Amino acid sequence: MNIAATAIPKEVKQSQRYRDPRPFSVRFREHMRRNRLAYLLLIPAFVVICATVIYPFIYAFNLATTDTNMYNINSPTKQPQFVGLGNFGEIFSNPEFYTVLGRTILWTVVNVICHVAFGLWLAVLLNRNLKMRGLYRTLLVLPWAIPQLIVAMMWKNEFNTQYGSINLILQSIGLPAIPWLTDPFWAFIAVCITNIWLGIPFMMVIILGGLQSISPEYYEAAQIDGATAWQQFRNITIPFLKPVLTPAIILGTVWTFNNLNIIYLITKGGPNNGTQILVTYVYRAAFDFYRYGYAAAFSVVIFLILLIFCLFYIRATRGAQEV
Amino acid sequence: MAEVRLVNLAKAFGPVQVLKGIDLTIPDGEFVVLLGPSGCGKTTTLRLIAGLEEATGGEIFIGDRKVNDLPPKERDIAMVFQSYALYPHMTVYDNMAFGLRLHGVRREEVDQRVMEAAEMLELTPLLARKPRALSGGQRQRVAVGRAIVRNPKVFLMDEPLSNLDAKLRVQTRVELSKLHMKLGVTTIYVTHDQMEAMTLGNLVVIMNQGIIQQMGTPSDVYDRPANKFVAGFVGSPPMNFFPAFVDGEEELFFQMASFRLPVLPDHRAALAPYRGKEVVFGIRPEDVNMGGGDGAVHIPVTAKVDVLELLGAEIFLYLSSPEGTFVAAATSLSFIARVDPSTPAKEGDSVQVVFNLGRSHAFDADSERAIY
Repeated sequence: MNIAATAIPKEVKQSQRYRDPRPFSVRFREHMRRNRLAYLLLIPAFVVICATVIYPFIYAFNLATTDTNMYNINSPTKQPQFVGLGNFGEIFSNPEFYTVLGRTILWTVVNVICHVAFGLWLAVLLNRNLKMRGLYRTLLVLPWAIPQLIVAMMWKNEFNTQYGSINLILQSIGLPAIPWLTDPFWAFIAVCITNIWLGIPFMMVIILGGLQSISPEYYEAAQIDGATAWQQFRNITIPFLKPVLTPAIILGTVWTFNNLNIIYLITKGGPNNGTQILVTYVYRAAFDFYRYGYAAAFSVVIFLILLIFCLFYIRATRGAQEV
Repeated sequence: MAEVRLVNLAKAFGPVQVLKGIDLTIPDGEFVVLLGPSGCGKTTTLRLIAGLEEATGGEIFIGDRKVNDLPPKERDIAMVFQSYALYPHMTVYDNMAFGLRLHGVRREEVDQRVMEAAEMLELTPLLARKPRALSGGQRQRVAVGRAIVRNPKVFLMDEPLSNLDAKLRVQTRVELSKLHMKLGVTTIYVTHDQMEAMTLGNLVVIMNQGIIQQMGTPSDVYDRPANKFVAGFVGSPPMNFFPAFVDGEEELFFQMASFRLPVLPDHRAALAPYRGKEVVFGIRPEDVNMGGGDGAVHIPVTAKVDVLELLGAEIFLYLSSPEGTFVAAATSLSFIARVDPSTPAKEGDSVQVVFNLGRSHAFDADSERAIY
């Protein structure tokens, strides 16, 4: 009797204790025969993901364990050497790593808090019955539509100590000019302002979508229950936004943590490394100092930091659950 | 507990006048049902009383206080929404306690009041659950519980049973009735379901097109409708209407398209001014009986059975009388009879029916007001 053809009743298959007694090869063949089309349709996406995600990912892990650099990467005489966890040892024993990590965390926290706070504020405003609401929405989404390069260039000019409009305004009201791009503290503020300005529309759009999905009846019920505007916001708006905010905050954090463009284009990590964050540090290690193995190890560290953050955050907010 | 009084209350949404100046006094402790078709303004009236909409004219009094300018929380009302609007992130207990906490009620008292309400509504075992883990009927009870813990002066209910299945609806209707008897709080209940209105309300307010058509006890609105709209809206199947011409000298007759009925002596005085004019004759399906009649008052009318609907305890016959030419507007008369299930009629049969004229109605053809 052909084993594969034996009909196994559905309810028996679904029972938890049931274990198919047939050998794996037989079961595998049957599975493939049944799902051939599904696998066929998945192949193109799988190939693309392999080429763009899985291969670079493995390659980076591999690279992180070598001393690959500009001199040995394509050299006929020198070969990159396997150094094990040597690169990681160097990273963690370098005191600058901790300074940059601290600054990266500060950069991320400041930016994400401001993105969420301003995004929420604007979304709540735009969710009201305003006149010309469409126009406001369009204007507020504009920063998102402008290429980051242009945004960075624009703000870099705004922050120019002599002719930037911010300093011109400050001076016109009798305040001293601020050394935006020459003092490490002010440079950090400058890149934060730029990135906050740039990141608000994303949060605003996401939160606005969340707000619009909240049925007005909840607010009406809360009004009748006696809730003030603030109590409604705290007890209705925030809990209802949680499923939307959780992925948005995770994405925002990962993007900000890894945001190379703004800092690189405005300050290049300077002055005096005062705006250096992990990702600009990696960029410098890879493309200024050509230490590919070291940079790859650094990237792995960043990846692990973000992975741990995401896992903790999802767990802490239980935001993946439905409200 | 309090009386609710609406004085010339009006509401417009842009150019659309939804309420056209209604006057209504709801006595203290009554269960009043606002009944009407969709868009008649009943929910708007309720939302105006709740303070969820702002009136464009008129006044609202709860007790002695004019509440037009008070926010909902200061009106001392509680509302049950059609969708229940239970906060999905809070447990049943928290849903019920939320309003009390916001009002700064002490913790022990919150606990006591929630437990009492939960006991009354058999919600005690469900207090720790979230709304998504409850059935429709349980959610509905939580919504009612949330309203009663507050001890409000007035309960407002916006079609609270419409999301329940038919069986549960009947059961919950009875529970709401009992609850009202127990608490005695003034209750305003909005529905488009006349069965609910007739069974729940001490008073029924029938609305249409932003105007109150009639207010009265359920038997008032059923037996003595104020106009053709009320007559046609209350009752299922609806009242049969026939265009009729009032004819005769001493004795008056309704001359229909193809038959003629006498006007009873009791109704003659009311109909006298309509002699020679057109009116609308109305008769409820249960007042159309099978049989040959007595030939004098109960004149038999011959009609054909178009459709027969057997509902178990009764049969609806959809009848049509032969074409006539007397009243130009009507070429054939269709009407419904509600008869005993033992009736031997079949579809396509020609049957004889008599109208119980003592329970008939007549309406002015233009104003549609009841003549008797």
